[in-house]
Amino acid sequence: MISLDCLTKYYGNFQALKKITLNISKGEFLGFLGPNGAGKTTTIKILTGLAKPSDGRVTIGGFDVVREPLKTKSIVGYIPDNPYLYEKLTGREMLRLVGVIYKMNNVNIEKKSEGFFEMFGLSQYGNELIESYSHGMKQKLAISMALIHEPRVLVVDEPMVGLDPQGAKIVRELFRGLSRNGTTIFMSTHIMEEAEKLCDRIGIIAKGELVAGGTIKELWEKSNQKDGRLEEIFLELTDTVTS
Amino acid sequence: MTRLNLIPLLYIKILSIKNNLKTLSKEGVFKFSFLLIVAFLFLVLDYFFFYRVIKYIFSLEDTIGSILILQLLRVIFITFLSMLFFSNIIASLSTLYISSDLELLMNLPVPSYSAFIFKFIQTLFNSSWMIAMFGFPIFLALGRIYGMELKFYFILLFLFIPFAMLSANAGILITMFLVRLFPVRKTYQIMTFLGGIFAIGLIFLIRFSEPEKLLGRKVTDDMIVSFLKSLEVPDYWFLPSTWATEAIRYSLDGRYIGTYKMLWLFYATSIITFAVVVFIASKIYFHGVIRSRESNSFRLLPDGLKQNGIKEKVLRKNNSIRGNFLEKDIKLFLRDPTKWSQIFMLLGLVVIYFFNIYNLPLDTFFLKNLVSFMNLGLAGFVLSALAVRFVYPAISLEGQSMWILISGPVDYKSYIWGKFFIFFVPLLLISESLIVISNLILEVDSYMMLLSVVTMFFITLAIVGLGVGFSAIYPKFRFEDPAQVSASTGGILFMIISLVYVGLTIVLEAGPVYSYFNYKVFYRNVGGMWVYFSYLGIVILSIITAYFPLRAGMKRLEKIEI
Repeated sequence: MISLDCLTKYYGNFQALKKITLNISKGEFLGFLGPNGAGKTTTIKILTGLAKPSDGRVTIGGFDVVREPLKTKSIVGYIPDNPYLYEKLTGREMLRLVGVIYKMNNVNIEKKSEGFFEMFGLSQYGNELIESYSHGMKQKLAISMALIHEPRVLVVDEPMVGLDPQGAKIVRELFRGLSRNGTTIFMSTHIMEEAEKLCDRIGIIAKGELVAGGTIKELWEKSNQKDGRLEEIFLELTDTVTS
Repeated sequence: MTRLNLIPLLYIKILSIKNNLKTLSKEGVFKFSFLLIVAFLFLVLDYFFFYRVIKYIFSLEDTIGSILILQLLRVIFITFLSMLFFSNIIASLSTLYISSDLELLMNLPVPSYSAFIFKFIQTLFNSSWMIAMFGFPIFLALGRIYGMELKFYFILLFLFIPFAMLSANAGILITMFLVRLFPVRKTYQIMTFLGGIFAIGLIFLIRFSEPEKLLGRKVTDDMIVSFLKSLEVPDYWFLPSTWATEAIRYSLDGRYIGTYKMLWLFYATSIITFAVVVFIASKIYFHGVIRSRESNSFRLLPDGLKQNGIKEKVLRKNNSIRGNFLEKDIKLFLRDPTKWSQIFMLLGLVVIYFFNIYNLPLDTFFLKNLVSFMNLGLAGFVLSALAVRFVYPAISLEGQSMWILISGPVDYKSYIWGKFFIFFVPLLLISESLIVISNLILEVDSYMMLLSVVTMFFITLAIVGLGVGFSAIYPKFRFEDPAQVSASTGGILFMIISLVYVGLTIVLEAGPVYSYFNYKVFYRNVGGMWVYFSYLGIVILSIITAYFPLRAGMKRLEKIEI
């Protein structure tokens, strides 16, 4: 469903991504891990059209992200780590705007919006301006925005930031359900436990290179931590590259 | 203790300015130099205008002259005082309560009054540097005409510091109390709005007093006296503007003892009031900052803006992306008074525009129609100024929310054209109103009326196209104030190109208008096919000016990275 083929990205002379190759199948839940500045956000930005690759090819659902951006974007949902929203719109208006962008009909937008508001306990705040929302509420709204059009691929950057324990639990269950129902999820996170619990496969990136990829079991085998936690595996694999 | 903690805080500010200057890009150097030249030209004009006015007053009889100088000084100081007062309230709301460095500042191990004094100095500087800059040429002109020695200018400097400080004391004190009563952002929006009304009131006051009468050759003493009398301003003994006027008067009369007494009064009052403000701040400022950070109270929208509003129903019938973007832009505009309050300023300037046209002493067919033709250039200039403020920031104003559009399946062609029509329709209404009403006042004939209306249509089309195109070519999504977007390099470049375009249009149209005047005034036929080529030239020039930037803007958005 998602295919990265020799993906390379330069910012001036700095090479942020070095020939990354990765394939993610339909319904697979991939955790994308890496230290700060490793290239996680750059990869996510390329997947969502917020940045362009310098070299290599990325396809989502068979569509090339550079050549067929509209087709790609119409099947992708994106949840950023810091959701900047239109502060002077209400939550309902924001969801409606996004629904229209994804060419949904009014009835469907209303139905879906109410469903998300209810799920996240935001119903009573739907007609409030977003400027009065807390960070967690904005994050919940951003998750609703990403899912309102039922995307085939979900790209997520640090989804649990700012969420309360109840909110985080809802989101975890939501993601698991989506993955079970065939949605492909590409999630960047710093929380190892989160990745361990949720993801089918892990990709570890350091200094722009994909240093390891596979199931937790496969990562154990690659590392010296035969029965260690993901955190130890991560530290060992990224240390080799960064040192 | 305070001093020890204040120096590192000020040092941070100086370091950031130094680093900003060090890392200035080519674009930054261009912008900086351009602004420097504009500011210099403005100061030169400011100096010569006041030099002429003061010199005239100086040449009058002794008694009348000194009365009038006193009156002029009163007007200047009361204007400065009120401007400083207002700008201190607005600036302090931003620096003391909204500024992004507050959280860091609050966590530093410095006494609360150090942080407050640091912010006080920032506010004082932000709100008074422009007035100091504008005032300097006025007093330089005054000093030169009265043959004042260097001491006079030092006195001015020492006078301005407590003068500005007193306004800051009053403004900041009011801000602290306002924030105790109302939410910070709401207060900021209301005060910015009132500031706008105040500014337009000031412009009205100056314009309707018809100062141009004083610049004619046949100006009688009576006319000057009645002009300055019409500028009657309060001169209560307790106003700092009265003290400043007195201090300058003593200096001009050579009675410096009087000036020093006034300076002593200024410093004593400003230091005592400053101490009072710091004391009050130590009691309420920090509480206010914390409150402003917690003011996440939920607000229901006014009925008109709720889901069932009539406007919503009309727009909702159209489920198109373009219609919904239009709806979004209208809502973002209407719900932010700092944006729409500028409309009042615009209306005020339009009234002055018509007043200027109405006051022109024109009595012949030739003059009236010639002015109507030149008016196209003036209206084009007004339109460019409006466009740089409203159209050019159009895409940048999506701000950091731009990710929503870029990561969504948005067709940039449709998006850009949507932006174009959002601005084209209202700006066409404004520009055509300017032209039609001016032409009606000038009583021009039907040919000039038709020519102006059609030309204005193309000028609006070109400038809006250019503005939206440049908006996409030079987007600036990270800003604290939308005015920063207009003042960016792209904004300056847009302004230059749009003025060149207006100039070229006028040049192209000068031929046909010349031929028409020849025919009407001298019954000579100097026209030919070239007249039609000139018209065609304007149409082609306008379409090129709109189309190519729009296309380049679309291409830029396709490649944009955020």
